[in-house]
Amino acid sequence: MKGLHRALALATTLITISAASIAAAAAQDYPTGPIKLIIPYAPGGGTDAAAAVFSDKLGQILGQPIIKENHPGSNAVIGTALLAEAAPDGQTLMVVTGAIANNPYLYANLPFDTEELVPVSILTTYPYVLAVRSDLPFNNMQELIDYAKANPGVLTAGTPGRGAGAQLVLRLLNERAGIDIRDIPFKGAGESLNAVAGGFVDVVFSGYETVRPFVESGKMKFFAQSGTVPLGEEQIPPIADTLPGFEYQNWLALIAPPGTPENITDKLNEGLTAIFSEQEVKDRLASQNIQGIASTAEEAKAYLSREMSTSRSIIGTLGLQPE
Amino acid sequence: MDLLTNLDIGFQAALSLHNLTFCFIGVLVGTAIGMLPGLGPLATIAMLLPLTYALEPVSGLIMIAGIYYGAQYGGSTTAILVNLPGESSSVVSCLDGHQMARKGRAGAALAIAALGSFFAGTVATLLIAAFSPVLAEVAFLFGPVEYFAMMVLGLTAATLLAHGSFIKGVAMVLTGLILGLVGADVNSGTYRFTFGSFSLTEGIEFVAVAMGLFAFTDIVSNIRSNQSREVTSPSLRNLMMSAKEFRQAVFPVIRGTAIGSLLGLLPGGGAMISSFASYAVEKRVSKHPEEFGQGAIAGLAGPEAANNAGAQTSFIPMLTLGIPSNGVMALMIGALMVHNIAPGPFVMVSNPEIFWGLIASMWIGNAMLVVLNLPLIPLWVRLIQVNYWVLFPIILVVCCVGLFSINNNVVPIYFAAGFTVLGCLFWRMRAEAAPLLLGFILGPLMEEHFRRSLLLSRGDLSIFWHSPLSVAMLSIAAAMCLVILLPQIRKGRKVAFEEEA
Repeated sequence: MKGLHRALALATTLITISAASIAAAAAQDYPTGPIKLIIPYAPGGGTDAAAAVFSDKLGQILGQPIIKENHPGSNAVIGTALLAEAAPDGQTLMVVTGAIANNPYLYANLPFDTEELVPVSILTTYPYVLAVRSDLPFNNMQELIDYAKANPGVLTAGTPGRGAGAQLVLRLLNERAGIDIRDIPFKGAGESLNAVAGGFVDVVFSGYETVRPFVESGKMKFFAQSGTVPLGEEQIPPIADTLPGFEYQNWLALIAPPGTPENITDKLNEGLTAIFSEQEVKDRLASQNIQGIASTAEEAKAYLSREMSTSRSIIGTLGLQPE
Repeated sequence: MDLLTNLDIGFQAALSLHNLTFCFIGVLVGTAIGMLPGLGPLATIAMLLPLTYALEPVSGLIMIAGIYYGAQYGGSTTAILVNLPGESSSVVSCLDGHQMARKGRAGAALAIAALGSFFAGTVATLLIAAFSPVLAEVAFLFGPVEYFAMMVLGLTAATLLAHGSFIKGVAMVLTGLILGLVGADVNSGTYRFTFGSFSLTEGIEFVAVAMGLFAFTDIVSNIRSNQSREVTSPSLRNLMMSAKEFRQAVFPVIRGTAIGSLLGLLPGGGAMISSFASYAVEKRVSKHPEEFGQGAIAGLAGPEAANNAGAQTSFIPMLTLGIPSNGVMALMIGALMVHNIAPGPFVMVSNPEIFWGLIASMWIGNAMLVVLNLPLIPLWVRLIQVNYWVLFPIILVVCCVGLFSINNNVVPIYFAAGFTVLGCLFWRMRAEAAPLLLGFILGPLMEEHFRRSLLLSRGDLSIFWHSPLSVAMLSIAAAMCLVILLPQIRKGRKVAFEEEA
């Protein structure tokens, strides 16, 4: 029943896409049909939740529904490949994390050129919270570093797999602090968090909202995060207090296919700016310790290329090779 | 008593007309998508999630939960009738359920599945209500080492799934393991056996394998040997469960419920593994193991109860700790967050109507499913009476739509076609496809946990006998190997001698 519904929605999208490409200068009428929003992660993740904050409202502003489609796999590569193939008419968009800036340096033979994608807006940024098993004998960053130095290679960290931001931030911490917390890859952030809660690994880097329930149930404690200023109600101190200059932010961006014209990205940006200045949206993001940004397309492009060069240098210093 | 006051709050919330309506919509949609192969509960719920934003949080959750356990019911219907496992947890129901249908007992099989699931659902719901906080901790007893041991146990049990040649069973499990290797390796991200194709990086689609090997192969074999069609026409007597069948189903249902309730607590695929585990247990304890695969009632009743109980208890870590044990639970957490309710151990205290309302609705939903499904049995049974030239094209079209809807592309359809050819080959060789599927599902998990354990221990194998749980499971697996191997070797010899003579 729902399959049929979805097939119909897809058919409508396809028809409107071809119609749009025939009438080339149709940007004033944009959007001409339902907008497909690719989410390159499994349903139920943090990106879904963040997209829910703006997608319905943006759909109302544009006068067309926004239909989310989850295409998980290979650190967002599979979803990005789908986006890169789509027509540049703004009818297909994608919400993606900072992983997109890492992938060119982690994967050989990507089926798309990341530089050619059109960033519409940087939506949000947020730091990673460092959470540790509650029965470990340290309560601040300095104690953790001292412990790791006294017991080299004993501490383990759960990470969501190759190329994820949470893996890179761990490697960065190891390198800057001169310690060796061993990386144990899991399938996604959820599994790595469960493993820490069960006491099978020791520490984990994850978003604030994913860690909070574990801390409330007493299975984990957090005392540091990868931002630059104290975070949230708990005033979690930044790692930079202990290791000056340490910073690693994750971010979410709205991306359009290569060659999407400016008047379309402008129209999207207008809507996003209006949404992110609403008090309700601000409150909701603030409760999850996420900072809403809604940048312009130029800012987004500059941000992406800056992030790409940062990623390249981090991945380079970590000695990872594209495979 | 606390429990009674709490259940009172829950039933007051769940029995409002509004919430009853959404519960009904949920189980109805769930049953429908459970029958449609390819479209799983996760995809459906992800699609419907935005609709729930406009609802009260408790109504939204009741509907999502209904879809989830409703799909477990629907999946068994197609598994029994047309040998089509709609969900990975209903693979086992194909084995004996479909054989029962072929022997004209389709009505009884469907009734056993529905009533067994209802019993399991009721018990699991009571467990959730009474012991949630205690049971939630079970999820944290299992780390990489324990998971590995469980997978070894599961794969050993998989050889029990096969009836007939033991060697063929092992060969099929190994084939499944190899097929399961395709895709990105979790530890290093390296692509294995993808031949440069990006559509293979996430591995071969499970639904395509299951459809090709089971449903499509069944269609081909039916067309080839039309005369062997054994479906007797359904009279009223045939639709009912006989007293003997009822008695045969009772203990497997109880054992299945126990297995499912426990394994469902484990994060990741608990419900699915519990149906395999229950089948293996039933075959072990049965006085007539030779009936398994030929329409044994225990082989249907146990796993059906197990997968439903597992689906229910998988809610426990989410409800009590705010921790998702699978994708559907992650979506429910997302639904809570949209309403500014922070999921976690405090939901029970801060929003008791949500917590207890959801639990009460599970029992109501399970009752609805029985009421919905029992009267429909005569209708479903008539479905397999439909002429092949009408039925088969419909199954094929529905399956292909389902395959397409997985990723909105046609690649899974080609894979299903390829696996149909392979399935026909297996059918000609009289090799059972179920162990292959189990190897395909469990193999990658086993490898992942094995390598993760060794990463943790830095390559020291002794990590596997430092955990009591792991030692227990590995010993059972070893004992099982001996029990299977000894008589098999003897029997194998005997057959060989008979052939010579």
